[in-house]
Amino acid sequence: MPIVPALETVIILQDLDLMIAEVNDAQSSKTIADMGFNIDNLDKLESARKELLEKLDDSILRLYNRLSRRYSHRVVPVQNNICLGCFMTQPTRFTDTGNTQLRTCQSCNRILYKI
Amino acid sequence: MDNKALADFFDAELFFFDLDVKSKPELFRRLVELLHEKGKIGNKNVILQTILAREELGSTGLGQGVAVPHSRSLMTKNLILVGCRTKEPLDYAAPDDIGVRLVFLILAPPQDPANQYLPVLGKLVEFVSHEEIRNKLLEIGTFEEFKNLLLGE
Repeated sequence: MPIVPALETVIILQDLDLMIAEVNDAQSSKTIADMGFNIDNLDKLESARKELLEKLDDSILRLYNRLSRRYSHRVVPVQNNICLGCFMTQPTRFTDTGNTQLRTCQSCNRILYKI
Repeated sequence: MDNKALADFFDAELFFFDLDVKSKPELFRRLVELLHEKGKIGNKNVILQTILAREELGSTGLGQGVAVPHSRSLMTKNLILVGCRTKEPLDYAAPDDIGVRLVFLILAPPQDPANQYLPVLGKLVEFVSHEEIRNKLLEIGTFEEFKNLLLGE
């Protein structure tokens, strides 16, 4: 399924941010470290994050940052026209373009990824 | 979680014996390609970037020839478990520097209401921590044999 580059970038950014959050969460990081995994190089993730931020237009970055203040999941799936962040139905004309445009939920404003 | 529950996450379609890859990045590219071909993931590039980012955080090599790369991504609808044995040992930057042949890739969606990701990861790590199991994993040739090993049959 084709995907607009800006959407691809914000999804990678969110995946990275969730990974960083997991490392910064004392309980999760202890669980993962206790299993024997090395999670020492948080600075490398931060660098990768900075590189991604440089790829985003200011307007999308502002939207992402605004959503970050409210939600841990800023990009959410939309399935059968339903935003899986807030469970509100989206107009069909809004989702029938697939992921070829960056769309936000009409209700919660999260960025949508059609699955 | 018990071994039976862990076994339910494995899929014969996603178990690869003697995969011919020469490096860690090539391994990840091949596994992501295979997952995409089988319709298990959305966008390949996002998954690959996320797996590589996790490796930047620290090698997912556990030592003794085993690696368990893992990450969450919006590009997966459900928890996916991939089993793989490579043809040759790979330089994986594992803590003991032993080349890796046994690889178990775990991918999970960010929103995981059943909270399966960490229990699956933990159970898998426990399973491969036994030397006898690792030796058998290097010998078996079918998915059925793998399942029997996991179920202790």
